Amino acid sequence: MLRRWWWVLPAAAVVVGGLALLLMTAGAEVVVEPLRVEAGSQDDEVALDAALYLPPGASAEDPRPAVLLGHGFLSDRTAVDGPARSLADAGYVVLTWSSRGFGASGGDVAIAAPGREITDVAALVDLLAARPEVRNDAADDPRVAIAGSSYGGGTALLAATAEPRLDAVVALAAWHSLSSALAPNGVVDPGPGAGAPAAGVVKTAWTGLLFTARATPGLLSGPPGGGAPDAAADPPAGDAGLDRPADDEAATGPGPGDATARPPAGATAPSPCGRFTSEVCDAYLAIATAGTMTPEAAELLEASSPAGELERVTAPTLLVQGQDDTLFDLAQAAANADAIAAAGTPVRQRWVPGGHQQVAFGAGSEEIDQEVRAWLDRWLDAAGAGNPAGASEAGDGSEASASSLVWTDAVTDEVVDAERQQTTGATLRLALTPDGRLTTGPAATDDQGGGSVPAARTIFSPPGGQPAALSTLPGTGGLGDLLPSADIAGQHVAFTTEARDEDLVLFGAPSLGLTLDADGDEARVFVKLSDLAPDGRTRLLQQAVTPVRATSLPAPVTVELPVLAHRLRAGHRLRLTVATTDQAFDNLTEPTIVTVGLDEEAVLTLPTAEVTATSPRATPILIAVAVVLVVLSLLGAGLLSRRRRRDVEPERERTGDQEQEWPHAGTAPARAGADGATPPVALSGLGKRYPDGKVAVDDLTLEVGKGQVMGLLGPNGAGKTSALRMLVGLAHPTTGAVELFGHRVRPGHRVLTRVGALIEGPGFVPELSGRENLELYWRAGGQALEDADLPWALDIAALGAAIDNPVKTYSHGMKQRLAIAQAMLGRPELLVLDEPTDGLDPEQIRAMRRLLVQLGEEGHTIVVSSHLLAEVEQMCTHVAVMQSGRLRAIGPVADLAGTTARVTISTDDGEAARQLLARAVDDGEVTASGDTVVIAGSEAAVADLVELLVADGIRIDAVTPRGSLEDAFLSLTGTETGGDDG
Amino acid sequence: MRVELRRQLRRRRTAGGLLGIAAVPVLLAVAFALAGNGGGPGDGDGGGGDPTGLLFSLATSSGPNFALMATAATAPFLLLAVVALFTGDAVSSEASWGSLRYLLTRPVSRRRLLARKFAVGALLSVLAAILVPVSGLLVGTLAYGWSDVQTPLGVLTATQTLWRLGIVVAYLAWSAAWVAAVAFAWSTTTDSSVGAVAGTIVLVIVVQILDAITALGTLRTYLPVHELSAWIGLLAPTPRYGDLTRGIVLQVPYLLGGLGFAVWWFERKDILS
Repeated sequence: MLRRWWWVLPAAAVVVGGLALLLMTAGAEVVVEPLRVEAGSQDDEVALDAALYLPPGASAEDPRPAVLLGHGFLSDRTAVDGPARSLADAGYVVLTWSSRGFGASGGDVAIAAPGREITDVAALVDLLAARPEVRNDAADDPRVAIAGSSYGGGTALLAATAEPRLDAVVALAAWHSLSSALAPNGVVDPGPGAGAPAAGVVKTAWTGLLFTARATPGLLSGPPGGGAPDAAADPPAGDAGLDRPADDEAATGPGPGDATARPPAGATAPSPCGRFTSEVCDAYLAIATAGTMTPEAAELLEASSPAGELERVTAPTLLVQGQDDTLFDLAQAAANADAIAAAGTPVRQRWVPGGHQQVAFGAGSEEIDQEVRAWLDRWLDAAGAGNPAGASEAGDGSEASASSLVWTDAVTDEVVDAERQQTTGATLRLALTPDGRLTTGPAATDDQGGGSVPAARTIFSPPGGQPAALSTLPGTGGLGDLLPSADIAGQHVAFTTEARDEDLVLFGAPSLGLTLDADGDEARVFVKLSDLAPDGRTRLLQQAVTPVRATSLPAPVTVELPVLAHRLRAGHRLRLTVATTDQAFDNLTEPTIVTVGLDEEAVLTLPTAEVTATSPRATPILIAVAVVLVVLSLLGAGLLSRRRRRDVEPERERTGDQEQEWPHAGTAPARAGADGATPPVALSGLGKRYPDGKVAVDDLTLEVGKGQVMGLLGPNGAGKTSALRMLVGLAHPTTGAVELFGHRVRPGHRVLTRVGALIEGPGFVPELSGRENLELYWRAGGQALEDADLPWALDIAALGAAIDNPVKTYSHGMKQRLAIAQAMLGRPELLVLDEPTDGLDPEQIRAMRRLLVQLGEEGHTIVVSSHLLAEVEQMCTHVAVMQSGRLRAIGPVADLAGTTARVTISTDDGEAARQLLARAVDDGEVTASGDTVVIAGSEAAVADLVELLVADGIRIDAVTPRGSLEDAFLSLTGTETGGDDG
Repeated sequence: MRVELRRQLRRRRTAGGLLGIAAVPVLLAVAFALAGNGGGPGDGDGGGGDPTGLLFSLATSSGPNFALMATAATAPFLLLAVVALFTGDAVSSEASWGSLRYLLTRPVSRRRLLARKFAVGALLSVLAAILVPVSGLLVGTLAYGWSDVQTPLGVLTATQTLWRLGIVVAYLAWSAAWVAAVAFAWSTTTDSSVGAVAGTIVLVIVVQILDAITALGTLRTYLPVHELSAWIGLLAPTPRYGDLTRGIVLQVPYLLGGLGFAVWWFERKDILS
């Protein structure tokens, strides 16, 4: 009964919880409002496509801080819809917009130009200030942060330099200096007398990708010039990349006349510039054809770079950069951070594994999302955070955001707090040797004794720049491991260190000294650092390839390589490769022979760091705690089982001695039997209801006295087996109780030492022999083998030599006998046998019967269940009849059988016999059917009846004695006998 | 308890399982010998990601290396499968033979019966876990000699490796605790030991797959197999215990949960088989 309630409570809890959850989230929807924002200066008006995301519950009474969320270069505001929603869910008002020249916005792309895209931000901030749902710090000064990744990140930083109303900045994968990012030259010192370093080499793979991806869509999807209500008044909005240089350049007074001069939107002529402004377009074409940065292009790109302006940033800034970003590497973020920090503004850098595309809003990285959320929560939400500029980081107590640089060790997956866990390590100076090694020893030239011409290596740059080495692909970032290290023979030289014994953390920007010479106008090489694993696999550190370009030759240059954040594992080697080509960059088309001089200046300087593992002290404690827990639980389990065992011990002395008085010491009987002693079996109100609703046993109450052989009779499905199962604790009664020898039976109760059972057939381990099965069975009860009286039991089984064969070779009859023997082990005082003669041949049945009767006479109590009435009649002293789970009758066999007092006589003339007997018998009734006469309910002696019939000349074929159990049973269970006619 | 042990040890599948797992290093040795000395299946180290792949290429350098490789090869799946076999079979096989009900008519509490069965299953599992490196050591030493060990994290002497290997085995055996608990709990609910064992093995595979899906983020760190390869840290010259402790503690809730369920269910159950 208790069991039923188990399901209700947890189910109710789940249902209620689910409803509550539904109710809480219902109605909590983010409201999205598409907008069109007028922006731009007087002569360059632009309509921007924007959307406002309002968090549930935001209103004039409950204003929220706002976030301006930008997008990347290859998409528009729809790409950040997901992140905008989740920020809105977190309680911020989010305003996303498509930058000029993107998506459904008007204008052309000027790449975050100060007078254009950046001024647009001011218009957006104005819009937010006017909204009642946005919290304002002061009139027209909303509490707003700006966030974005890649293009959006750079925009955010530039906006921060120009718009003082911004309260926080989050820039993911942003740039510091576009010209050095897009066309780097690693040279920092071109050598004496060379002047400034040569112009950088263009990252053609990236620039090509970005430019053409932007240019092409512009042709197909111009802004909805026809749909905008003010199209007529806003001609530039209808621009869709037409013959640009002519009409766009002026960008002045676009009167209606100009508007009509333009073909309607949709009928556009293709242009290589797409939606870029002409300045950008020209700059790109120039550097794409030259392969190196031009001064004009450099000037344009620098105007769109935060470099040099960052001291004006007052909003706390979070910079997240991918460690394998090939477009904007870690040095860009570091330069941004240094400049902002120099101005005294709080700044935090988070370097994460991954390439350019993996560091973005909605890219799926949980750590980045958490970082951003934490930063915004801290600087926007904190009530009374006051003036962000100058607020001390340590002041608000959250140490996690106080650190200015946190990076991820991609090898150990560990997050390293550069301030707390990292200290500057030794600087490694590795010399480049002519035989391709990087050694810490003295420079190679010392080995050569003679001090003659310093060694050099020659590499060749192929005509047309092909074949070119493949090191990286734009956007793949961390997937770079999949690329084979494909350096072309003859085009590169490599220098490798020895394998190290211990891990080494490389952190910082390495520098390299080299002497370059070429037989042409310039020497152009590409320098890479790789991690070489013992099995030959290489990994390009930070996916970085540094172009080195020198025009005044020979050039003893000093090259600064990109910032490293890498753990070189023990057993790994470091390889420095200098190659003449790289597919990601612009390569020389003229065939050139480049000489790499390896004098004593040819040194690679590696900055290293010491990183302490996180809280080593906690580790032994944890181990200790874990071990203690385990030991405690084992002890507990051991103690529990030990207590049980002790309870079993005293029982052993009891068995084998039938004359023992019950109850034994320590227990009081629950009830006394008819003769004053505790009945071996007492069922009271026993009931069993199975989970599917079937009632197997219903209110069964009976007692079996000592020495009785009780037969449990009933048709199939009467509940006999269920009752017997409950008797030995196999099944749990739903109502009532079972008491054996006065003890309420529980599974595994110690009183079961006095019980032997055979329930629903034999069950043995097939691979073991019969003897082993019996032995193990007995000893599983924790009793000694000697107490089992095994020889006597084996005698009963009568299996002979087969006892030592595996049980799976036995026939059913043999198994049955073995099962009976198993029940008899230890000569139990109570035997519970379910259909013991099933499968036995008649002689064995007879032997069994005799045994049971004998045991009963010796004082054992036996409960036998059967549906073979004749058998029960012969072996049992008492009978209990069950039907449909209920007890129909109980009592000594003789009494029960005697109740029907029905005699059946087969004659040769039934009718005559009937008439004769009907006259003679005055109590009861006589009926005949065919040749059989039935005398029911009469006390007349059978012998008298027979005599009567014989005397009358009627021949008798058979007489069925009175007191047949079969009749009694059938009448009790309500089934008709064969003798009656309907 | 010894009774139960005898009961189980005599079964063919026990011997089969133990022999089978001990034979794996032998098979691997044959495979390596046939593949030539090219360094085995180089599922190499993609730049510091997965050092177990590295162990494969280092396997032929010495006997203890071979044992390490054999351990690494069997740890993620085979060992767990064998553990599932030994523990998932315990109760349900008795139920399928019909002998469970007789065991339960003995004066032994059900809980105690379960404890004994689980203890024996666990013991056999530990035995299986030990057999792999032992057999690997034997075969490896015969084939490749006894010398210093090159690991993905450094170089160790052979004797050092033995100690470490001992701890590794203990850790792997413990890391299978959740499998044992799940298989055992399953076996208390069903008559079919095939169902319990196979079901548990399928669950092991599914959990391993889930563990490989990085999109699950921090949820993965609560999966019981997440720290399965943390023992690699023990191979470093100065052993790294960080993930190891987490792995140890990670098993506890699953173990307690599985066993708790098994006990709770079994005590309340009507034995109808």
